[in-house]
Amino acid sequence: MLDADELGDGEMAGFEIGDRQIAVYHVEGGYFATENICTHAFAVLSDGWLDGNTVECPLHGGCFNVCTGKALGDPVEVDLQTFKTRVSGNVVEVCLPSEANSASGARG
Amino acid sequence: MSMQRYLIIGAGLAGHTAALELRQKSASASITLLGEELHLPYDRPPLTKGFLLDRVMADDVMLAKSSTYREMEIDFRPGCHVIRLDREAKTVVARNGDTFAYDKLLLTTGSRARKVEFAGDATAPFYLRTLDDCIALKTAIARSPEICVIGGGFIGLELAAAARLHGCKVTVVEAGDQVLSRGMPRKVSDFISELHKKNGVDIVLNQSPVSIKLTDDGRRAVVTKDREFAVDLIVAGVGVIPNTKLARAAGLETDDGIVIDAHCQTSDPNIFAAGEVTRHPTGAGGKMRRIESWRIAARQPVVAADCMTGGNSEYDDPPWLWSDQFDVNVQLIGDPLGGDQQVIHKSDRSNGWTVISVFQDMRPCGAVAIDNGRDISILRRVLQSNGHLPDKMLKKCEPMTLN
Repeated sequence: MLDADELGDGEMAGFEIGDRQIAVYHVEGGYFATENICTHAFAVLSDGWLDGNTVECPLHGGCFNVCTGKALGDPVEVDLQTFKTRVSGNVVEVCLPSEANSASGARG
Repeated sequence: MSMQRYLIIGAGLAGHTAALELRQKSASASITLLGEELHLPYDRPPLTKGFLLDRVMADDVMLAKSSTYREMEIDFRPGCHVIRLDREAKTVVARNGDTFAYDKLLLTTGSRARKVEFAGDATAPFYLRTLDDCIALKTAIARSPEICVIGGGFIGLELAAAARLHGCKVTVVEAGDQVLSRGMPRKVSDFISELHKKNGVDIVLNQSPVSIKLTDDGRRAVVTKDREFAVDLIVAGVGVIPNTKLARAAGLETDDGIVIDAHCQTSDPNIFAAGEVTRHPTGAGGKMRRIESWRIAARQPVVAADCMTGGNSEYDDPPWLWSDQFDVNVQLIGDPLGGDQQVIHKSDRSNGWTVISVFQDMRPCGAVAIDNGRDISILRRVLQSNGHLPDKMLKKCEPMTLN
């Protein structure tokens, strides 16, 4: 659902898939995905700052590990939901639970 | 080797954070945390935001459960009012006669709300500092009274926004010629005033309250130089004062705050201080400042705990705060009125923007961001390393006239 060339190393982007907000990150040579809304307050993480494999929320500075979704300390305490990704040819796909075993494959 | 005794006076975010950090550093030391309030340590920022809007309950703002302290073997004493510090004997005495001995002491006594000093019914205003203050105010606001807020600073404005969302008629009375008159670029103050006016808050500038009187119909009125504001409820947010009395009486160096170095050490080698009560070096030039914000209470105690247990870390986090008013997020970092000129950096993905204060060589010294938190994340790193604005950002900055 995302052209691999569009997301450079160390970049992230936000997508709306159905009624979910998803953030996709290209770090550590791979692609990772989490929910895109901070667990602390309503803020869009892909509007924040990506530093290594840590995303910093733009509202109050809370940090999460983008690979595991783990909340890294004040003011965030609740981990982010993560989603599996896979690269198929030149397309990065995100697997959403409601579509178990079928990933959306359209180019985005 | 005998067991180290760490004593912390002040059980807010800073004291709580220090207690947990000290336990991380030492599994066997004795750690005692003394607090004046009867509550468990709690987080203040939600009190003037979600708590007043019923989105957050009292239980949600607590930083720990009593079981947390029991499990970590931290001796937490609420309702403990310390009246004397004896540096020679290394003991402190509480009002009820309890005495506590220490090897290393940490003062995290924070701040208290400044009270208005005018004629008339000076007991009328509500203040917004403690959980108890906010519980009382929440009850009063539920009746959607007409409110006069004295003080156009962050507390006053956040309260105004919450009260407005409760359907109250709100007037903010500010003595200066702009809201957020301490340390805020004019462009941002003007934007915030407009935001409030658009949402129906009446912002009155250049009016210094002189007294509060009772009106004929049993209400109260805030009386200023030229006007009178008759209302049902008065709230004052006119600043905070650092709680330095204990330190001063014990002969520690204080100067509108307990003076410490970058290692959180006071003028006594066995006494440290952290959080809002401290005056400490900031920025590349080491300018001494007292910072009123959540972040210092969350981060500085980590340095204190490290240095109390033999470490050598320094606190170099640039001063930073945030405020949420209506649906706008304001963030301030560093010293936004320092530097040689101001530039503006607009977001290319939203309506957000940032005013950045820079030196001649384009090194930033501070900034204020409106709905543009990503810039703050970037600038924090630049400020910490005393670096230059990244090229991509620099290219998109436009100069502003300095005011």
